[in-house]
Amino acid sequence: MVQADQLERGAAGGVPPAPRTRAADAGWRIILHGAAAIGLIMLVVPTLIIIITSFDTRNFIGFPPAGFALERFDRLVHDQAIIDAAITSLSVAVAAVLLDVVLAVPAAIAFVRREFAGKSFLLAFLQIPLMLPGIVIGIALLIFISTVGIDLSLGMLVLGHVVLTFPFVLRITMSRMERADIALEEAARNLGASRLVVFGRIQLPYLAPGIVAGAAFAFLSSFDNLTVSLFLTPVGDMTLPVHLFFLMRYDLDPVVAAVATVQVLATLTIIVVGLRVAGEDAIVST
Amino acid sequence: MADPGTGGCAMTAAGEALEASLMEPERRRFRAIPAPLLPATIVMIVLLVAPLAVLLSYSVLEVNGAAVEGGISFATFGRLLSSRYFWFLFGRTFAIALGVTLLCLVIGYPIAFLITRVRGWLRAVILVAVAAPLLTSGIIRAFAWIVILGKQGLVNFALTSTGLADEPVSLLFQVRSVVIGMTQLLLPFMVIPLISAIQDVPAETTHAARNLGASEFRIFWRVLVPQTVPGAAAGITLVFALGYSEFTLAMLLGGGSFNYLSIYIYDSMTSLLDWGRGAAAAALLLASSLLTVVILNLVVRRLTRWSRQTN
Amino acid sequence: MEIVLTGVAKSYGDHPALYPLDLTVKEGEFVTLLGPSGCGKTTLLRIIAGFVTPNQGRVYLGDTDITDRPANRREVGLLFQSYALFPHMTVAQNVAFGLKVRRLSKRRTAEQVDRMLDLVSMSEYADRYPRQLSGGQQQRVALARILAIEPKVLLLDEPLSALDRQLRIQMQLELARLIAEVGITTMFVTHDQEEALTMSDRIAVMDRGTIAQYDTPGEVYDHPSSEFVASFIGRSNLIKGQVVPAGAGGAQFRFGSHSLPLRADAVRRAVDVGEAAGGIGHRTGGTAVERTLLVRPDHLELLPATATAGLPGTVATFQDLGEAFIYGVDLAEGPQLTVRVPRGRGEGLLAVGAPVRVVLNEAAAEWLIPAPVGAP
Repeated sequence: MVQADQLERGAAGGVPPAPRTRAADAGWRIILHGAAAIGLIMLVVPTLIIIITSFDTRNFIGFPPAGFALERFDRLVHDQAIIDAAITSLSVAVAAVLLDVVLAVPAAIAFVRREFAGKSFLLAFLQIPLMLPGIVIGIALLIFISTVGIDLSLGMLVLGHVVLTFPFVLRITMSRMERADIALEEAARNLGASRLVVFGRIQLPYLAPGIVAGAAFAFLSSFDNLTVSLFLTPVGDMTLPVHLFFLMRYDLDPVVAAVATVQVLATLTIIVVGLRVAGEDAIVST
Repeated sequence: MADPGTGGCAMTAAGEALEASLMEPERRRFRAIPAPLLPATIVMIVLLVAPLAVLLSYSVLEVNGAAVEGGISFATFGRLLSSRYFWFLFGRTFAIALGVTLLCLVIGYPIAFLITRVRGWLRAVILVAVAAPLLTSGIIRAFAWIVILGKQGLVNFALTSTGLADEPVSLLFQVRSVVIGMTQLLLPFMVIPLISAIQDVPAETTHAARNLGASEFRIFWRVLVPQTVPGAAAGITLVFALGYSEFTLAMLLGGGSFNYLSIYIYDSMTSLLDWGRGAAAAALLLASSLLTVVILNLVVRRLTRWSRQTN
Repeated sequence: MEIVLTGVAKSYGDHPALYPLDLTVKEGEFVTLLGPSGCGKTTLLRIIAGFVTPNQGRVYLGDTDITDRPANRREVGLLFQSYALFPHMTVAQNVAFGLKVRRLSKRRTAEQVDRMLDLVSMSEYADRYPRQLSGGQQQRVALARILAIEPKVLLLDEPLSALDRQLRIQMQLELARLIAEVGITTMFVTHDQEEALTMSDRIAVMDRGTIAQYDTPGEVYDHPSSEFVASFIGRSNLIKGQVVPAGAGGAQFRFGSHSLPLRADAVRRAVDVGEAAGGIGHRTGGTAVERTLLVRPDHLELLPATATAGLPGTVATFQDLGEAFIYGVDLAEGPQLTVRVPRGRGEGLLAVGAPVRVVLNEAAAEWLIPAPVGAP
């Protein structure tokens, strides 16, 4: 910081020295750190609370817990409805992700390696779901399906999830593909490889980490989705978020705490594993 | 080693990359959409464009319940736009979204700032703290806030046990609970763009200000923040758009009768089975959201030009 | 297998990369495409490999027209500047790749892989991954990978530019030896003229999309067909002056206030190359013509200022190359000449500004640059 005396020495024109700001600085820093602390607490505490609450022994939701036991987890394991819902969510998510990958990987390669009229438009078009509120997509699909005359089914739900999650897989795969070395593909061609061989032996192995990252993202997105699922879920075969939604609205069953904890831990595991496999590509591209 | 093997002829490297992709001239003369893109395009058109078109049509046709009965009619829109309740709803949704955005800005900025000033493990930890909530589902987050804000929850426990309140305060199913929940939900979407925005500010500008004797607050407010406006705009538009159309948190933390546009749409579609109204409301939601984002961007652009001039 | 290009041209939009050209590489020949960046040499190579489609012209391998064949059906081997080894495969798997594509039996694949690795002396590295190899080793594996499919022709795109100088020289010799041993027709692209001179049977010097000269290294060095070629290959002194006929089919070269007799054979060869046969006096009807004389710096000698022979001048620039000194000498009446003096010979270090005399004699005046087409 500029010292007052230094200025006085040369200050023929009478410019006053800069005021000392140490106190103001300290004060500002407190405010700044304080706000940041509040924010960080807001971000982290809720998750911790969930985990703690799941060990509560009472039969209502409250904090702090009265005791620490695995009671709620025990109830979870015996709750057939929840387990069924979880399995449904799992199947839907897996199906959606598989479809996503099948659609997105060739698309990503084509976007990066080809030039054609309307390319940037098509790229934006395929990512429109990212910009639409889930609820709009949900009711649009509901109306559409009923107009066309198809019944609500898990298959339709999967398709709805595909629309929602496809852009993630596309973006992340494209991001990885953009860093692929085209010389490798050319060398393979030169050695006699057909385009299919180049795809399977050269491009796919390279893209694999990116695909995994995209798939993990899409999976979580689909599994946790409520806004679209709420409208497309067939009666009697609910996904987990939908089931929990109704549970929480009408009767706050403490077992939800256990579900929440399990889900948080599962998500964490998927992220860690996904990151391991995919490297930093995942973070960079989101 | 991303060298495409073209040696020093840099100018034609791009041309050759183009060529590499159009290798078999006889088949690619048309430069049409490449085959690998067709499945995805078709799926999107069938599953997104068509449904959206139908949605739009439902808002401008005569709809009774869930079925179309007649031709083009703007009666539904008329009903909505002349309803005082609807405008009240609209305003509330807008105000809440705006409030959440401001809160995220006020809290998010210090966090982003801190992240850029801190190194090593601490930085990683903060980043994880910011990013992790993104991947827990909305339901779970709502649940967490119920535990915190409920009658027997954490806050009430703190209030009653320290004597600040005689009996548990009702914190849920009101605007405040929705705002708090949404702020936590959307904070990462504000922080992450802000980090880039702050990092893009040349360090010399803040150093120069320091050298000239400015206090840290002044540096922050007059030198740093103005230069981050474009980046902040990205965060602001994102948070606003997300908050404006948020459903899960509004429903679970606000209750089924909470006044929010998305809940209104949900009710129209499910319990009231007035699909025409639901579709029209959804169309208005989309349109107003888009409009706000466009206006916000214009404002930001105007601001940036203005601040560039005064700087 | 010979490579024949007829009328091949390529433009990217409005930007021409190659003007229509013809080129033939004979069976077993090692031809280098030499030229500065952007001259089109890599484009030409990639046209032969099939990664670039020419706007006009045809490409033949032997008698077969391969112009319309896709890049994976050409039986040419392209060695990339970055080697392009597949990072997720071992050395052996890399070398086997082309064979696997051709559905060769496991046994024969293994045999061929062993043979190739042995050829490039990389047998012990068969199970290593490319990232574990040095640059020179990677290049050998890349070569083995290409030779394994027994291509008819070998194309190399600046394969040595990534190596440091010592390794580079070593690899030049090794590559040349290997290729000669295999006997495959080879086309090599580089911007390093020393490399081209060392390794090639013939050099095609390229300038902005055209072939300026296509000849043996000796011819290109001693008898460049244009000023561009002369200045691109080796160091040169290009002295502009006039050729004046001087009786009995001979001539004199005049520049500044100096005059130099030209050897009859030098004149005749220069004249024959670009112009009609016969003495230059015969050709020009006895009048003087403007020409450029090429004198290589190593053909000039420096004498102390006190000497009587040679042309007077002052040292303007000086470079110590280690093995020799390079002086730039401003002639008192004439242009600046570059003189190369091997270390250990001559007068010892001359300082900038020192007076000196340059011996430019008939023996050194070896070559007149042929006139461009259309000049007198």
